[in-house]
Amino acid sequence: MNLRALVVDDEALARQRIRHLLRRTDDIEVVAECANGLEAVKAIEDLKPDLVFLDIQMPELDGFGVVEAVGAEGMPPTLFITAYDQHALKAFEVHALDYLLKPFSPERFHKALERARRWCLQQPGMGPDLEALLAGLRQERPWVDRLLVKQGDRHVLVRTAALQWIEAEDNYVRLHVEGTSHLLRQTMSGLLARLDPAQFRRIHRSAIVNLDCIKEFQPWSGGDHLVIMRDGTRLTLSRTFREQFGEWL
Amino acid sequence: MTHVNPRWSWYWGIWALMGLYMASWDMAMYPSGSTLRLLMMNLLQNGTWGLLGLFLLWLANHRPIESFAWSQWKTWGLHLLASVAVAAFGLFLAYIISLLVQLGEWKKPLDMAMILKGLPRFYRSYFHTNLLFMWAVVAAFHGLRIYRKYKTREVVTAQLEARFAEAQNLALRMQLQPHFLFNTLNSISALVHSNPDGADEMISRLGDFLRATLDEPQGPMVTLRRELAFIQDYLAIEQIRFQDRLRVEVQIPAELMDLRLPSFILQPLVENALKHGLDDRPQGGTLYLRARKEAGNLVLEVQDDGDGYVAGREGVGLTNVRSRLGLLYKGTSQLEIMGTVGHGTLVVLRLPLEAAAGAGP
Repeated sequence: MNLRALVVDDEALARQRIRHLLRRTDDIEVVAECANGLEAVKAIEDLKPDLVFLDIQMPELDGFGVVEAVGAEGMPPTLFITAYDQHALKAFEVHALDYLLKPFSPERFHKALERARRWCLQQPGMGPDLEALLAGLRQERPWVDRLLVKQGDRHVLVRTAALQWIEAEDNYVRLHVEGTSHLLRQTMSGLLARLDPAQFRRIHRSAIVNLDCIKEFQPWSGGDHLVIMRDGTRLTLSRTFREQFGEWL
Repeated sequence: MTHVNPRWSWYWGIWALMGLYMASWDMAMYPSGSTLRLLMMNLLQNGTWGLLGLFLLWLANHRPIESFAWSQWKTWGLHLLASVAVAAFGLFLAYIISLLVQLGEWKKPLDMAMILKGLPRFYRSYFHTNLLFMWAVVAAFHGLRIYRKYKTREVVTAQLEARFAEAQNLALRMQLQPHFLFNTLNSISALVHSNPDGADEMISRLGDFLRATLDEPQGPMVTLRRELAFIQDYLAIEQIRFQDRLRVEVQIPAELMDLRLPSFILQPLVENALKHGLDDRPQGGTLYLRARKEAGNLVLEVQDDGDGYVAGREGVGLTNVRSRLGLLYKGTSQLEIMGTVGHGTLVVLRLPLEAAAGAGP
């Protein structure tokens, strides 16, 4: 059975190196190459490869961002590749994940490939625990600075710094960004946990605001406050969440 | 423990000046007295006190008063006692000296009755002044001691600070390298098969680059020429990696080449320009490096024509550059980042020219 592989690295020479090493094997076929994280997310969803060679350091959306965007459960068996990242290495060691350090030898590459082949033949879910890996990384780097959202069949990267406010909408959250908005499948508390608390606060059961985008607070009835945003949007700061603003109100 | 070891010429000089001062005082009080006699008497008296002062100096060095704390009461008491003793004994000797000098004039033998007769009056007149004087001497020794201590501490602090800055500087520089290094090695392993000449070129450039980071005989500052050579090694490697997607334009007048700037300060700026300006664009882009003199500053510009910097958190590279500039220039340099979405990013670094031209701050 031929394995369909995806090669993700922002550097053409690095992708070329992997293609070159794969030439020795006859059971792996490279179905696509991606030069960044966004392309990788799309290719994984569209092409459903059996195996992904995933570089960790990439501009904008990095390798872990790709895993997070696709979802640990939807991620094919993945071979992580990195030049130098102490956080990542620690996480790999903790979760007993195989990884390749650049520059790697052909022997090292084929050894890792051998292990990856075994995961591919196993039942899904028997491979390494990516969910635990992501959870571990979150402890190291708790706040995200970009979110990947889907718009039609496109993927869009949104900088968290550009988020003005976030609104709860059933099982989704709506991200308001300069004149437009995006839906993201996520819970309010789940998202809040990933946002830097120095910048984002919950003001209501159904609203999170970016503190940089607040213009003023006005007292309102029943201990509530009216929050007026820079763009004129009016939101409510409910009594329940008021104490977080104790230093100001 | 800091000891006061006064220069002896100063020590005796000051006592001699005190002698002259007191002689002039006596002359004002007894205008009829012989000038030579008053001068001799006062110099001898002050010389005697100078000798006794050595004891107070010894005490200040070996039992110094360190604070006003209650636990120091014994030391305070000791100094009080010593100053009373020295004042009393010194006054006795001064009295004998004044008698001897006067007797020389009166041409009369010294007799015990006369000594005892004048002594109480002499003490009543001079003891309080003399005790006050001895306290001033003790205070002066302690003042000198504290000053020395402060000076020594200041020197040590300055040395520590300098060493710390140097170490920090080194650590910051080292932080820049590993990523680049391993990625380059990985590129070489790809090039070995597809483009052996390119691999060859890259290895020698990498060699130059590493040499420049390893040996740094000129301290934290280098000439613009040297920094530029280093940047060009770096860019040559990146150009092979980006494969024609990276174009570089350098506009630096030859007369600026000998100006000095902190070593490796440009590389992170260039690295940022490549990362944020060119990486995401398949068609690649152009990097501009410019330098000029302007209003007492060496102005360096790194510009790309990428997507444009969006204000937000600064990466390790920039934070690094900022802290090194802070250490080296203490707020007299300026780093500005200007970006317009879609029109690239311009980084302007202004370094004061005096420091840039000289041997470094």
